[in-house]
Amino acid sequence: MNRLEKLPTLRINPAHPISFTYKNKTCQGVSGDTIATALYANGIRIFSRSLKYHRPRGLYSLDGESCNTFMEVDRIPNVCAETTRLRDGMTVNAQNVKGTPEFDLLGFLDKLDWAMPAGFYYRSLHKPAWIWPIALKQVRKAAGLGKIAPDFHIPGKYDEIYPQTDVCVIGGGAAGMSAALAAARQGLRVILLESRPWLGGFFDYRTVEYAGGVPLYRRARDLVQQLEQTPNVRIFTHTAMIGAYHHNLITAFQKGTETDHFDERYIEIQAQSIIVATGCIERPLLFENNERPGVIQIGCAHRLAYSFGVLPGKRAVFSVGHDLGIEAAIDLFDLGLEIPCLADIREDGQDAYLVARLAERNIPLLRGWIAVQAHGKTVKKATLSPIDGSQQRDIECDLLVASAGMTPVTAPLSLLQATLSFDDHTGFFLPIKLPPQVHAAGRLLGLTNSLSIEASGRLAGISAAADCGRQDVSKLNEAREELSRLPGPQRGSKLVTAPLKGRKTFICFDEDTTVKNIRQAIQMGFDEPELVKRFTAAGTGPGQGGIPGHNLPLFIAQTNSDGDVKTKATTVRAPLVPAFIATYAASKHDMCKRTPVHDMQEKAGGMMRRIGVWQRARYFSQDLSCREEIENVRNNVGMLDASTLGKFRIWGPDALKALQRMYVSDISRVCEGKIKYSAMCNEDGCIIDDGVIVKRAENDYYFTTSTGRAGSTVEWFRYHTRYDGWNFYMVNLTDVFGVINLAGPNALRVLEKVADTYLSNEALA
Amino acid sequence: MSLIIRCPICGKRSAYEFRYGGEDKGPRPDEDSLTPESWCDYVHMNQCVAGIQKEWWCHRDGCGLWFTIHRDTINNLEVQHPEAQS
Amino acid sequence: MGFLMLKKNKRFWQRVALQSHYDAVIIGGGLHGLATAYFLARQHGMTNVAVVEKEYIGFGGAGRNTAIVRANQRTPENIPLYREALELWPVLTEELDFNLMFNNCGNLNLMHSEAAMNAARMNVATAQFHGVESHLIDARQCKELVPALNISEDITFPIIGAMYHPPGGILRHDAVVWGLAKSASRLGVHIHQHTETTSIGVENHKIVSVDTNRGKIYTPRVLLAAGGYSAAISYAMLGIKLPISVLTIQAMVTQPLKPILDHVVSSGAYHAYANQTLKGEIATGAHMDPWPNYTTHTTAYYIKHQAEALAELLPCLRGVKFMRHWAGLADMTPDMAPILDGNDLIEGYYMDCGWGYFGFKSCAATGKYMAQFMASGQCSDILKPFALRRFAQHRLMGETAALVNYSPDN
Repeated sequence: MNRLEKLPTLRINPAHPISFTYKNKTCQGVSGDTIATALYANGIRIFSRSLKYHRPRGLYSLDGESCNTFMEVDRIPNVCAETTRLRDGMTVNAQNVKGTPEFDLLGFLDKLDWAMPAGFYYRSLHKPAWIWPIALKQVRKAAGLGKIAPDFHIPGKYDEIYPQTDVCVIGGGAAGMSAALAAARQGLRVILLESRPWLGGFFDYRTVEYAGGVPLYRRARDLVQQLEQTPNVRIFTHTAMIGAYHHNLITAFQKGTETDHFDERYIEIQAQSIIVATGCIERPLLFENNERPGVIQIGCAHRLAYSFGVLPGKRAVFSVGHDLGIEAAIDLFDLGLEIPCLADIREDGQDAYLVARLAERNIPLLRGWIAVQAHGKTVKKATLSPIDGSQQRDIECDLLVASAGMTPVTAPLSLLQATLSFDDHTGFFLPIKLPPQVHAAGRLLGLTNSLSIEASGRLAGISAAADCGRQDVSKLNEAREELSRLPGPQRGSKLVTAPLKGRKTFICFDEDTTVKNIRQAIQMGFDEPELVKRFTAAGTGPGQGGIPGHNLPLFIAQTNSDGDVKTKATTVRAPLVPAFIATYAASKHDMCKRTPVHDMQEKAGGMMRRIGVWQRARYFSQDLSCREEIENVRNNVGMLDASTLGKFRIWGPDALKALQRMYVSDISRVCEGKIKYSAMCNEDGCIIDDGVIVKRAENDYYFTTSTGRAGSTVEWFRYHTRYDGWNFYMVNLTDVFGVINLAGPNALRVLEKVADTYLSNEALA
Repeated sequence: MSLIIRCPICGKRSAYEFRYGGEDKGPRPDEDSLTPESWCDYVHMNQCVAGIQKEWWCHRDGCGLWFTIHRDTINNLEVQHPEAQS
Repeated sequence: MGFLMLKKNKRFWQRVALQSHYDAVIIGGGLHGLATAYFLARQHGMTNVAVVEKEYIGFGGAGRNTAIVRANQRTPENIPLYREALELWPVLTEELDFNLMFNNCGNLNLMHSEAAMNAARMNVATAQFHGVESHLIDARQCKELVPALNISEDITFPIIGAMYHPPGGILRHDAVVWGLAKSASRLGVHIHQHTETTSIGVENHKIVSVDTNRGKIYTPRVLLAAGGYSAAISYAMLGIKLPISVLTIQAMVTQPLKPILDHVVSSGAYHAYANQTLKGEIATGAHMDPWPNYTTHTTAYYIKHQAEALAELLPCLRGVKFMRHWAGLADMTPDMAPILDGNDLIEGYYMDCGWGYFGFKSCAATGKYMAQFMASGQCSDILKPFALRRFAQHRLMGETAALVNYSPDN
């Protein structure tokens, strides 16, 4: 196995190989791998072809921000290979290719981009009119990524749970863990959700010092240990938060491991207080061919090596805008990655300690430089330039680690109705107003210092405890003071694009939307970010805006000539991570009521049908004509199970008054012991129900309704008398009595046998 | 969106346990002076307030009580003290 | 490859200053407002028209619906309007020179009981009588049209058959909005986005002005076409109550797939419809939370409900992922038919609202007739049955079997 084995941060077990099939060949991964990391370790660089232009796409991030690594796995389409754990015996195939991902017959479409400007479909293919129905078929075929068979049945067990908790923490990085611990120490029940298979976030794979000689990854594992020893914290890993609703209702789905009794499960959490500590993803760097396989983000390169033991390349050019990039370069260099240079968008402001360590390794730092182009089907060469574009330098490489900066993961806050606003210092959309019982902590607030991140988590934890009635003013002040003494949010890079020349700079990978497309849209009058998004489809793909979410509004604000368009984030929608319909549907089982004669009818060959909340025999014949049955009722006798009809007793001083209001007939004329048929109308005069009324005694009646309205009759009576203050009681007897309807010329004779007495029509009248 | 309603008997419960019973329009019009217009107004017409409205609810899957609450239709949250907000 | 040649990227619609006088002001930059503006300018030469939109065009229902079109309504009053609208899509595509992406895929309305099949027979007969193609098919024929359909007995509501309506289909909703806006703007209509109506001026029972957050407009005519907000505006600004309940309706799409669903499939028993968009997403929705509100928030309850329904109806979709879930407002009337009225209570005051979730289907035809109404002051016969007075006259239309008024009568 071609893996780095000795690293203390590894999340794989190289001693446990796992076999799987890719393109009909057996490949090896190891336990702990995702499908994508295993493929990458096997030398695979091109994972898929893009939607519109069929451009080769590769591993870019590791958290599913784009559909670059969407593959077909065990016949399931659109499986995100980078977030799906590798399992023994998996069959993996590329999708949306004619041929292989490396050699796709539709690759020529990339050359036709000139014919497909923004809004291409809206402005073409409709003239002459006969062309559209033909074009439509081709458009449909070309669209879509994965393929599903009409008879496909997804295997596996899908479960659902509905836990209640005091505090729900979203994000299991350092801030989230600190928050969970702080809230739990106030004696509260805490649920901690983490989308990756393990806790740790940005601390998990990094070896730089946290404090007192302890590296970050060690600190993260200490926090995990503390959490595991806290019985009132329930940890859900590999659990992606997907929705947030009023009153702090959170939905999530969890992927099961081999030892779980489910493959996936739907989780709906009712929390009193919520802490969002979802950290940051990286903001993609915009340059020509910025999505070529071999262009990857900082965290992806860093984690491939330190979590998955895969050195991501041989020779890597870095073009970054953040200290995490410098740190990754140093760490990867130490594992044997050749680094000809590191371009940093920032002219200054780099961490001096990191700069010194770069210098020790003779890695040239190009301040104010940026990648402007990647070359090759997979990266073979990178062109760098100062950000003013004044000169260019080509450097051979097989990897281009590129990142413009950070993007806070604020989507959960948006769903929780927090107000976000563009912050000039960090270049982030930051929460300026949080709803009650919602808190935010950690890196998503722009914090980068490890101690600050933890302190903000503790503050959020203590504040959330206060929401749940555990107010601790001194602790709260202490936490606030602690945070105020520590470094605050760092200045962020706001640079949007490299000095651009070509046509293939992608702002959205999933929809193949280029920067040029956005410019065209703006020229055509689509000046609202939301309209640009709709017109160019940027951010509407399966990556849920993970790639364009931050760059798109920045770019629109920068490009728009008239200054009155503010930098405005586009709308966020659930599910934040796409989830299987099987997971949402989970263990749904149909619940229904059965009548007392159910078994008997079933035995007699009844075709049972659902009617409202009931199962009832609809007919007993072989075919729908039911001729035999009908004839028997006409000429002899038939029995109908009428148990599902609504049955009620109403009594009390105002019972008759209530009946008089509800029925169209004069119920006062029903004598004791007698029965009357009547109907009920709604207020618009439409008949909505019918049945019989029996007078049992003065102001004491029994009446029946249709099956469909049996459940709502009491509520209906109460509704129409709600202003009157009348005094009557009602009880629903529908489930108490079975009812048989006897019909046909011999009905009376059957009844006589049952009743054991002589009966006649006259006697019953 | 999710809605939690405070039932006077059962306390705070999910709105899916309840049934909405319309805007509070007061008692039905007096039968003696009834016109098609006044009946139509009572049965069909709504104010559709984009803001706080008084409305009827029934705790269908609970105690069965009909009661009124105030709710802000803009954010779909129950309002405990409407007089303080308007 | 003439059809591929595109003109230079001109602005689709112009940004113009708000004028103090217009011949007509249309409140709402959605489908009905824009369609009426377009037809006023094109067919009646009334180009001094302002469309005022609180957000941006297509922000409301126009941009949130799943754009299913059909003409197999239940009642003889409704069918002509929907039929004409259905026939207008190809015409409009040409007129607007904008690809509205009409996919004439046909609609299957599934039936789950013999009783429902019988009711559908009546429906089909009405449609056929009015020249609208619609017929009944059995479960096996359903399966032939939609191979992914589960026609087995072991689901909650087994499929007995369907009402099949071949002329129906789906469109691209945004295309209709932008196409209408583009042509209206080029004919001289002013589209004012981010312009909120704050009050409507009436003198001697006549419309005189509209106040907006960007200034006062004098005008003799106002069309209320504000979708979900119509009833609130009508009552707050003119004191006219409407028989409307505003509910949130939700829809969602899956990740994009290669073609799997070639028709629109809907089911009343499951409260669900599904169709595949041109992008390959399965669009699905139908249910509404039954209490009025103006939020466009989605619910956890509903996406789960929808998954449960699809898992039974189209079980292969269990292996597909939901990707985006959104909501819009539906202004529901008790008889599921719109309120199309004008010049009655107040001279110059026109209404085009109460569409519920049917607003997309007939926007083009309605816009055409509302424009004629506003230009001439005379209501054409096709719109007459939709007057507001029908409620007081007990002439509700039977678009649904029961009333839809969200009180316990229903």
